[in-house]
Amino acid sequence: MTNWFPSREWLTAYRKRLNENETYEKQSEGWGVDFDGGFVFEITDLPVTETTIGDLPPELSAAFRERLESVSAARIEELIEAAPPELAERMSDVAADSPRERFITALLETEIEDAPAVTWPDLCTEMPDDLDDLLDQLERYVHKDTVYASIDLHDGECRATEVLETPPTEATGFVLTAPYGKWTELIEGADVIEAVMSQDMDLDGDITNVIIYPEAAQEMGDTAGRMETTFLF
Amino acid sequence: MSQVLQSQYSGQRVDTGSKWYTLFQKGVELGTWNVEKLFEEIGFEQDRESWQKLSQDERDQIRYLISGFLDGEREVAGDAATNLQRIMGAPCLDGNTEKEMYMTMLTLTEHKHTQFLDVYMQEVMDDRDNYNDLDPRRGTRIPVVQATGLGEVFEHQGLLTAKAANTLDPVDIAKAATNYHLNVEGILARVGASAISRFPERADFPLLNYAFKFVSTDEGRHITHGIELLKELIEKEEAGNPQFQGVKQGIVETLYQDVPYMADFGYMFTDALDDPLELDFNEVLMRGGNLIDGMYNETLGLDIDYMEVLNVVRDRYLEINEWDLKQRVHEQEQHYQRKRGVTTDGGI
Repeated sequence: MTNWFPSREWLTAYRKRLNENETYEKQSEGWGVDFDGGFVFEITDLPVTETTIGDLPPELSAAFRERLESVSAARIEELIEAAPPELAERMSDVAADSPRERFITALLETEIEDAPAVTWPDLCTEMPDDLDDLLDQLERYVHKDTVYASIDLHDGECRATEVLETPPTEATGFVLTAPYGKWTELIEGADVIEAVMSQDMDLDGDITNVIIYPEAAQEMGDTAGRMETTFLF
Repeated sequence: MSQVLQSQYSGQRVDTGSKWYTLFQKGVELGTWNVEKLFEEIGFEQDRESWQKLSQDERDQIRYLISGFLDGEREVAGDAATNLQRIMGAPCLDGNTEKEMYMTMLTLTEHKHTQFLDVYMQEVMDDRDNYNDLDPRRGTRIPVVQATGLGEVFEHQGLLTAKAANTLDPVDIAKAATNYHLNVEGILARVGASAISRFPERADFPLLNYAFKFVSTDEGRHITHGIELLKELIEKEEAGNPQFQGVKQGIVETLYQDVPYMADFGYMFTDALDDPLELDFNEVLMRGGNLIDGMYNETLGLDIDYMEVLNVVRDRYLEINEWDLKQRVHEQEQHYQRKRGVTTDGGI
């Protein structure tokens, strides 16, 4: 799977990269030993209400369209017949000559937030694997417009990562919060410390520990910046 | 600066279109609050009553913070009246007349801040920090200020402003203005005032809080002056004027020199005392960091090396974290008591 951000796979790859990073290991030796070194990354303002399935990157949306355009008439008829009421209603609003085009347009013009209401398992078999997986993840992990990911950091090691299915209820050492756009800037190489200082990102936690480990914080940001990432939005 | 405040008048010797003329006018209009009238109108009673209700730890926390302000205000008032006034006439600066006019206003307000704090501490708090007989004008700072990095920042301020007043060199002026207007007024005073504004969550000090609204408004104009002064110096450096080369480097270096001691100030009135009023050292640090970014990076367009900032703050934090601050303050008090004894018995 392509390294889509945000996704469970990206987070797993991030953990791997952190654990392969000798500089990070050295700089964060002792981090989280006498205090809770865990992080929650809170990615807010995901554009799930403004973005449609058709707005997703071409590897996902164009490939899906191509697939639906190439399946047999009988298969399209079968899918249209099985379409849930929400999709049928959307199709009736589409001005297109052929039922196939109405079906494809209605699907691709559906906002990500509403995708679960217009998709069903049989349709998902026609999707590119990544799209199927990502729509499933967005349904599971996006709460309103926010995704929460936990990163368990301890003594130079990233012990675990997890995209949370529900917003965290227990306190964690640090919470780094920012709109999706600021996370993309960070992954594209922006300085994490500057982002916090300028309030582009909000860091909640014991700042004195960050002061003691500034290079580790920097390396965490730089590691994300060095990953090959494809942005979902 | 707002155009609506531009003067409708023009003069022969004074440039009424100057930014500094507008700042001067703002100071005339807004900086004329009367300390004694404030005492009369609000009175000390509620503040005294709140003070009496606090635990000793809570009192220490407030006393340390206000002490920092009292010594700070006295130092900036003194330097404004002498060194800064002279710097404003430096040949390398434009609009000397209007800058000198504005500096009189800045000096007046700093003296008023000192006046307020000095009387307030005398009237509301105990006498513990009163070492006036040992002559604060010649270095007898309040024990907690002298025992911590805050004293270092003020010492640096005195040295930098004195040097700039002597050389009138643009780089020296930039360093002095950075320490005075950005670090002391723009960060220390704003962080401290922000902590004071949170006192009402735990204790009601109406006179203190009301006065600090005026103080903060005054400081806002002073910071604007400092920013504009530094912008002028930076523009001249960027225009390639040889005399101004090194201005930006001087500004950034002054931050790196002061910032560990500035963080010290936050520690001294929070975690060093176990923070009974929950003023929150983390919040203080974040506020300081945000102010640094806002002034140095966003407003002046400088490229601050945050790793350098964090590294020097870390080194200092690890050092002071080992301190027993109360013991250090006690030792400083004992030192003053010994001086006082010699003063009393004539050194015999």
